[in-house]
Amino acid sequence: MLKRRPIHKVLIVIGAVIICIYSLMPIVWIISTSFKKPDVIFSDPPQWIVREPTLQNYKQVINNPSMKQYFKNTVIISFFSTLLSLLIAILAAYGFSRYRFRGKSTFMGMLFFSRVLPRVSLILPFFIILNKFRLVNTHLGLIIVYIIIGLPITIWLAKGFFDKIPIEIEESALLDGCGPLRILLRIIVPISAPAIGAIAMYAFILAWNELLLALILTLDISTQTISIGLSYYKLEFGISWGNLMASSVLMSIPAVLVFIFFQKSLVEGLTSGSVKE
Amino acid sequence: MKRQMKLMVMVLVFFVFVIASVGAAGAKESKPDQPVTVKVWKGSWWNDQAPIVAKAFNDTHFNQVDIQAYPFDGLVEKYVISILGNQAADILAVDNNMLPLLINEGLLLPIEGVEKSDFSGAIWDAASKDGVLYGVPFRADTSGVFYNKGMFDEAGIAYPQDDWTWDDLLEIALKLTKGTDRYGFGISGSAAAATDFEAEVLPIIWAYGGEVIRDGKMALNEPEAIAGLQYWVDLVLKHKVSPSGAVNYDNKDYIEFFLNKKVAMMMGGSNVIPMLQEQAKDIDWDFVPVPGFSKGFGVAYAIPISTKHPEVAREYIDWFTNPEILAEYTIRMPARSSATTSPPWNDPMYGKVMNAAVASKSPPNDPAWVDIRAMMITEMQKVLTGQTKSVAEAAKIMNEQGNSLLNR
Amino acid sequence: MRSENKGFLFVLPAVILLTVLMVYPLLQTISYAFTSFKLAGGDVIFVGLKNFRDVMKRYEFIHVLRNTISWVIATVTLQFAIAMMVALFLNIKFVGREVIQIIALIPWTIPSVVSGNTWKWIFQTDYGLINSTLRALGLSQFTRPWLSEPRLAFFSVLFAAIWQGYPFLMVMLLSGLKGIPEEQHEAAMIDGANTFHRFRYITLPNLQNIIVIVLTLQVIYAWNTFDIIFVMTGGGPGGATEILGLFIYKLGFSSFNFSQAAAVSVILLLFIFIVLGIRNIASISRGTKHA
Repeated sequence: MLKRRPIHKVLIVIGAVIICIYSLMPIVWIISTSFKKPDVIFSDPPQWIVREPTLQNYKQVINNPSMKQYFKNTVIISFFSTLLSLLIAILAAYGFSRYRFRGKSTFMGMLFFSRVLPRVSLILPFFIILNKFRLVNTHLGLIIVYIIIGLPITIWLAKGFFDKIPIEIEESALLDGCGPLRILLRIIVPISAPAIGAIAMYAFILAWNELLLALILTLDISTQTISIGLSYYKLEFGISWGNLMASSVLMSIPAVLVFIFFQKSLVEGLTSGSVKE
Repeated sequence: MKRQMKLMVMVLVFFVFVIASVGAAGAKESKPDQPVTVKVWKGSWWNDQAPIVAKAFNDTHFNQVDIQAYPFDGLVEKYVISILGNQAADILAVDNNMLPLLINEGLLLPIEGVEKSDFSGAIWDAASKDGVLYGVPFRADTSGVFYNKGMFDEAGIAYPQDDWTWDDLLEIALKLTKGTDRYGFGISGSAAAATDFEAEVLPIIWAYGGEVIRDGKMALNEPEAIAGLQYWVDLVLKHKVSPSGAVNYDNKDYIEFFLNKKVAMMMGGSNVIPMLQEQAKDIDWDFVPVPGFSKGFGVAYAIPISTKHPEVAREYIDWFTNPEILAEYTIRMPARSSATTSPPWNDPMYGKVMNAAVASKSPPNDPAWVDIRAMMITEMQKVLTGQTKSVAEAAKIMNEQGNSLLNR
Repeated sequence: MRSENKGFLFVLPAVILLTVLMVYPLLQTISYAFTSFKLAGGDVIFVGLKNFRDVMKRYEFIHVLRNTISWVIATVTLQFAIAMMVALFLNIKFVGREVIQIIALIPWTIPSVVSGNTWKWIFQTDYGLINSTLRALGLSQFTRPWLSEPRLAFFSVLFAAIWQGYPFLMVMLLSGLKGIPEEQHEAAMIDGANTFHRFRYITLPNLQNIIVIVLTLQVIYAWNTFDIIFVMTGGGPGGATEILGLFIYKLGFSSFNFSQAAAVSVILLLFIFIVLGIRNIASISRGTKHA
């Protein structure tokens, strides 16, 4: 580790502070509002630090009998769509990266174009198809939809990463008689930890926060997600701010935990020597 | 090599197997129907009441009903997609915005044998086309003005009476405005809440003797309409009785202002009453109808063409819109003036709103109205921000664009 | 690269999903765009280019197009700049880096409905957070009509959208940075390269793949943006923030005009097709074909 000059340390601190302020300013407000009593929420001048904090918003949200079910649904859907996204994307990216085969550019094109259509053009056909397969109002239906929406990014990202890994690494393993699947699992994936971490985060947040498709493709509480639960706090004529903020804070906590888990892969980079065989 | 292929095929088969089995487990089993259960979809404010209404029906009927409430955001999308995808409920609660569009697209079944009797006129009109009814109203509302009595007392102003005029409103607003600390009256210019804009601008235009659409053509550049629009604009630009950010505000914002004592008068419908009763405990407030004609608003039960049980759907609708049942079980202003046998509708506060609803007019029922209204908001916003220099100029533009939307 | 059909098996799951669930929307959109029909069924009439002509004659069309171009350019460049700077910053080893990394990612965990409404409140002209705080600090001369003046509204919404969207970009770039072998940097430093040189000649080329992919997809995401703009301004004031995403939504779900909404989508598809086509022709003629 290089010895750090004092000016560098100062710059780093400044950079860290800027990032914190930029990212956290609205968050601080969200958190502080979640602890406010209704009559204080719009006080002028605004209260950044709550004078009389209350837990009533949180209590209301947690005691809301539907919330537990929403949470359960969202966890199931997000977990499986992340897991399956990773699997499918890694396989597909490896195929695109390491092989030439008939139809390859067609498929890559399809992948790309599937991102171009705006949501308006997607929801009706999605609904119709899921309906045909009797997957409306099922966990699986949403899982599949989220996997597909994420495919362009997850596959392209993994492929971009794989492309940079020199193919020579695999040659020796191939000569040893290793099959491509083994190579993928034993060699490529461990090296690609940063990309995998990024993909996992992306797939998770996609499923965790998504609203419109969840609304259309679910019918009742057996499958509705937290995002939908949150929308109930946006009333016909106003917003239940305290509850909305409290539930938003609660909803972010699992996401942050998932990020903490995956960001380890983004902290270590390629240490020299791992690429050489 | 071969082993690799075998492994891959096995993986794929496994995938397909997983998907198929979970899919089968996830798919809903269809029960043999003895009693038929019909589904009803409504907005999220019915979430708590829905099971109560359902039980009341189910306990007294052979066929059953299942009522689901969905968030307000995305309700329209859900309705449309489900109807188009042939998976909609058997009964939808549809408001007067959506009705002309759905009727025009042929997505609703005609409903026969219902007499107009004491149903509110505005929503009845919105639910009808060429003499055929497509939705039975159960909610009728109108927006009026909620005002802070304390501020009136402080300034020594008499409370507004039912026969007040827009000029009266302006006078009061001027007296109650204190620079930027407090505004007299809030207007909604937001493009995200078109119905709030409509609820102000239409009554004003009507009060000035104007119309938006007359005989199938745009009428905004008539002097009466221009005068009305000018009045609306002046509230912000000239008299400053409305906040400077009004171009981006809607009723939701003004409710917050009202609770925070930043605005003396605001528009709102009866659905605001329970919320004010709960949250405005330190404010002495009251409700008065809008000067002149107010804009009627309402919700009707409609039957999408995709339903498989139209007769049972009618059973439920007829039951719910019966005046006594309606009065007892509905949580928003009933659409029948005889539905005042149960609280809270027999409360004088609601009586005021109901009376106002009687004197309400419906917004244009042309299916192009939603587009025209969105266009009007954009053009009027330009006047508020100074991009368009005069109301007359805006009126001319709105007329042109409106006419082309009408003729499509 | 190996030339075997085995590769097909790897991509099979993804391809199955895509074919089943994406081809149909594509086909349906194209068919809606070229036909006129009653949503309820009945005759489907082929109308050629009528929907396209109608939608382009709409009063909003030109300004939506203009706004969208400005929006996309501004969003993508600013987001990219911020994401790159933060990614590079987080690539440096320092104490507490993991904490700062999480903090930088938190905006990404906030759902649109919350962030949209929060930012709307922050920027609200009369009693919003910024203006109230400025007034409380005695700095009222700095208050601005953040959301009620057309150009300012554009930037305010842009600011909020970037805040929400840059973490994703940052994570992608960071993962790419982690993929650059340290020896390259070390070798360059021994040769006397300073930070800027290393950035230009090592970092950027190594990231090229990822940058191109992510930027392209970000562009598409940008012009389809809907949630946050709708909540903050609804497309106003005076249509200043109405971009393609809102326009298509309006066509589909306010006016129920799926044919016109589909026509716009087809225009988008064509646009991408042409751009890709140009790129492919260019790279073929240069002799390098992107894999």
